[in-house]
Amino acid sequence: MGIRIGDITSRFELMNWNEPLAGRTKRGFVGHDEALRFLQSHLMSDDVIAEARRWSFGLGIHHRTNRGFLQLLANAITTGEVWVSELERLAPAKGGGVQPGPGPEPGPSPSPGPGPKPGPAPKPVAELLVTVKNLFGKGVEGVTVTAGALGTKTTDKDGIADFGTVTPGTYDITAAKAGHGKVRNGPELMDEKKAVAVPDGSKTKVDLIQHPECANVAFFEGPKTRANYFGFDHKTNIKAAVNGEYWVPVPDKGTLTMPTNRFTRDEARWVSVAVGKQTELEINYAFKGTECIPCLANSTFQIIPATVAEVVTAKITAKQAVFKIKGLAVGEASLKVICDGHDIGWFHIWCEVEKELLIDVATIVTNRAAAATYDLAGLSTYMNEIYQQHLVKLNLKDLGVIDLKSNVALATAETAEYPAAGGLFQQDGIHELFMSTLDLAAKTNVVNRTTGASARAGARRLYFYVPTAGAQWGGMVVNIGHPATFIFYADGTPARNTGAHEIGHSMKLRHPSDPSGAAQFAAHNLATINTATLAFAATNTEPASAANPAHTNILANDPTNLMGYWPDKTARKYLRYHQWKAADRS
Amino acid sequence: MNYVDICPPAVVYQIQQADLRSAASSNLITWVEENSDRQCAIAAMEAIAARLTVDSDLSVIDLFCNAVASYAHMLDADQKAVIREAYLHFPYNPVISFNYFLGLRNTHIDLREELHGRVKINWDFHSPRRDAETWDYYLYLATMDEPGALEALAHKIAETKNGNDATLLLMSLAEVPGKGVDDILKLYANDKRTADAVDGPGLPISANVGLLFMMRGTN
Repeated sequence: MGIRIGDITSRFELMNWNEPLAGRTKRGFVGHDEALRFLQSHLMSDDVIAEARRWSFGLGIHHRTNRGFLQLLANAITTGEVWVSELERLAPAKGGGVQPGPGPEPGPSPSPGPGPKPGPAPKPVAELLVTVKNLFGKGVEGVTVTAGALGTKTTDKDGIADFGTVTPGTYDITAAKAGHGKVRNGPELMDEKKAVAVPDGSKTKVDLIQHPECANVAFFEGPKTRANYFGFDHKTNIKAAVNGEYWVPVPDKGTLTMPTNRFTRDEARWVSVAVGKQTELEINYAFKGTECIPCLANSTFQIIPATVAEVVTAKITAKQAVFKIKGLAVGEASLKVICDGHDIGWFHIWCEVEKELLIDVATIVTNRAAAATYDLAGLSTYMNEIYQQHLVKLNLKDLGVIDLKSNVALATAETAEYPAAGGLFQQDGIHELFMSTLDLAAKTNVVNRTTGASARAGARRLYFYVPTAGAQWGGMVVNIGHPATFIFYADGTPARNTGAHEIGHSMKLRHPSDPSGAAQFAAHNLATINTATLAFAATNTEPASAANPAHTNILANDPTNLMGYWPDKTARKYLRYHQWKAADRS
Repeated sequence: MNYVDICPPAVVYQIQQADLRSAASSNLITWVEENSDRQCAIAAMEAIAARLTVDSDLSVIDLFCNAVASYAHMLDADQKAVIREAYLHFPYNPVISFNYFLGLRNTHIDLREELHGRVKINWDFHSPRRDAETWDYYLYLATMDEPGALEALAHKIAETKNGNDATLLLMSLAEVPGKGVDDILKLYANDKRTADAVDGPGLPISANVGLLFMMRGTN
């Protein structure tokens, strides 16, 4: 027979190994320590221990101290020489008696009476062991594991968080480490298992994943050296809201997929590249931690369709690096960066045959306009920096001075263009008929030359016509697409910028404010004309621009567009995708 | 006249050294004129004509054709024969149709038979300087009095509703000499549609047609 541990309220008996169960429930223990803790919590008074000693003596279990005795008894339980029987709980006595309960202390007795004080009820016990591994099955150290009310533990070098003996129950278990997630190419994210049952009397093991995040974004900027690229457009797909970049915040967008719509407003760049030529970009990888650097080498690049361009740069070895492509055929394409099977970045490509357009430059001299001096080489360099964006080379030829002073009919017409005595040229507005007449007279004069520079057939014209009295405007074109353009003031950066703007009109490019030019701008950018311009920070390819009041011919989203009226002409240089496509190429 | 005989030694050297497979040589003829004179430039053009092949850079061919157009009024029959031979040695490429046909137009070199079926006919364009291979071809055919060519050009203009586009097509057509073109221009002498100035309506087509007649009278 066994012996009840404690008084009549106890639910446990110590039983010899050969005692039959006989309807009893055998209490399980995970190990010696748990058995010892159990005995220590139930054999608390000297009387109880003395009785247990007497019972155990017959089994050969004895020790001179109570502490040593309990150790031996725990050993016996662990080896199975002794087992613990768990009795049915007693029903509460009517009108009095003891209260049953699982807690360590019995409830207050409504009818205190003589008899031994009840001992604390035993705690049910269980064990919980959490292992955190990466996707390759290796333990991850330093992961914070939380198991509900049990609190938190940090994994050791083997990825183990051992909660030891715990109160049986159901727990939500999480594992989190900065820079880690559940998948290699995903956002930073803890792993978790909800409502994990940790039953009494058993050891529950839980496995969770925390994998170092990898380079899940790559984005592109233009190169810092102007000569190394054609056009770089970061405005056409300008973001619609804060953090609208496909790569921001880094790298918490999770798994990316390049959109099929090349005009998605995700800040993907457009680049122009000539057939048979290379252009350069700057590729930037972004990710958390250093574990992902090997992903750079794992990156692959795909151009869709592959017939339009090819990748020149074979391998990337740094987070920021030069990246080159080469144009193959006329068309449009997208390049995407792939890492571990996922898209992580992209840009779009416009490829065309590079064309050389002819512009004959001259200065017109009349009774009211003196010869202007200009630096043709400087003008050519300035304009080509702009027009290489849409894959056009401007071939400038100097026709020199065109002297029209002896043209009486022209002189009469010219006088009419100065409406106020001592006033500016065309102070009351531009008169296209006079400008067209002036062009015709100049053409005729050059055709009639027998020596000196000759005009080229089909060439556009850029005239410096600089009225001595000054002009109301900076320059003009006779009409959209007309080959004759004019600059009304002396050579210098503003004049060259005006010339480039007017040549744009000659190539059929229009002002943002021109309703007929709607197709030459991204609709969402066109919608920002006449709204206050916010400041833009400098990029690799464009200088910073300041805030500016609303203007009918300035795109707030793209203030420095060549065809707008941005007041700082040193910065007004940029043409975007829709303009690349719209401009004349002959 | 051989360029070696009439051009300065430095220019002769440049002409001899020019690699026509490279775009860097595209501006050679203009450079020759700037550093010598028109006669030397024309002689250089003849020399280049003999060296052009299928391997020549497209921009070299493009600007060669432009030089042909620019100096056309100064070329004699023998020189035009050299140019014609050159046109047969390099391939037609629609990318350079503007200058290609401009050279043929201004010289009246007849390559109609050789070009037959090689130009993709597509009248769906808006500007005579963008994707207008068909327009360039028909201007050439009209110059050569090819039956139906002028009518096709006139039809394109008549179908063009936009005043600015119509103005640009009429300006381009006016480069072709002849009464047939005059007759087409007259159809627009009272056209009130306007070209597009940069900030609103520009000149009426009627005014532009008046200027075109003035230009044709002075040419």
